[in-house]
Amino acid sequence: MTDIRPTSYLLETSNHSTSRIMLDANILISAFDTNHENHCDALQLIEHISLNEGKFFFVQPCYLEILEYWRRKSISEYIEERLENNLRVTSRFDQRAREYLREIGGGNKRGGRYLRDHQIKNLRDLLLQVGGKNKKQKGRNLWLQFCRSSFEDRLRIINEQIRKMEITFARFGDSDVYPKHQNLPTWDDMVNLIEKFCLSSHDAAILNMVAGGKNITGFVTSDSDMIIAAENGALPREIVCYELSASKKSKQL
Amino acid sequence: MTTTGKKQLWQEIRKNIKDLNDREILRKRIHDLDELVREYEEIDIEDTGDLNKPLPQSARDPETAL
Repeated sequence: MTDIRPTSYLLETSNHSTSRIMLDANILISAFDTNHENHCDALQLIEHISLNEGKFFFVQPCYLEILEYWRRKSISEYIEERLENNLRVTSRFDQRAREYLREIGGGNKRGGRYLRDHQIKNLRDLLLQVGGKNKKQKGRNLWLQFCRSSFEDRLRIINEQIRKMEITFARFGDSDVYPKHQNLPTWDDMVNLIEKFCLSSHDAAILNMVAGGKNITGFVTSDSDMIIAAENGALPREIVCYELSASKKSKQL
Repeated sequence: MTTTGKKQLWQEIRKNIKDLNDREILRKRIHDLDELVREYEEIDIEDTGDLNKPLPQSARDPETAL
């Protein structure tokens, strides 16, 4: 069975020249979000291993989760800032946005609690109604400007930091994690993980790619679903699963 | 890269992440919409379908929004 160890084990080791570690989406998400309860621990861990010659990898479904998180965060924060500064869009939009933000809770330190996809769609639809049937372009312009202002350069900045951290995007066929002409992870294996552990499809895809990666020594996650699956046979025994849980220091920040 | 160089790079990464989350920077962009909102306000209310009327209770139920 795969060993499950706390990430403190990785911090105690000062030579990571043989470490080839796959990062779960939640580790990168918390490393980039200063409001996240695991932020300090995740960033400290990546920095420590990076400064000690360790290698990091992440895979496509992990990247998609990061982008989705920042999509929700960026839109949520932009709406929140406008409301806090009493800048109106339309009464209906403002009213609905206030209700949604109240529902998800958290205030300025919302720590991962951002608008959900259906809430963003509903708010978008309220903007698209601006201008009525005859002047639809008004509403479209408003929504498009809304998107530009919410994101600006944020996603590009995240990509840049991932590159600077030297976290390798492992793709099938073009890296030493998934060499050409070797057995690659299959859809069947992924579906099997969903059925066996009731994992979300994204989690199953990530875990399946970790299990099928060559020469991976460790997998870092803070997701209890992943931990349960890993300790029950989802990963080969040569891959150690490291669990990051919020330290008391991080929780107080 | 030397250890010192790597440490400097990490200082830069940490600063960039702090800026990425900085609400002050976000605050500078909140007026981007103002001109378009003003333009909307000038549209004939009949044309817009009375968007400023409060939502009916049923439309405010988050479950119906799914």
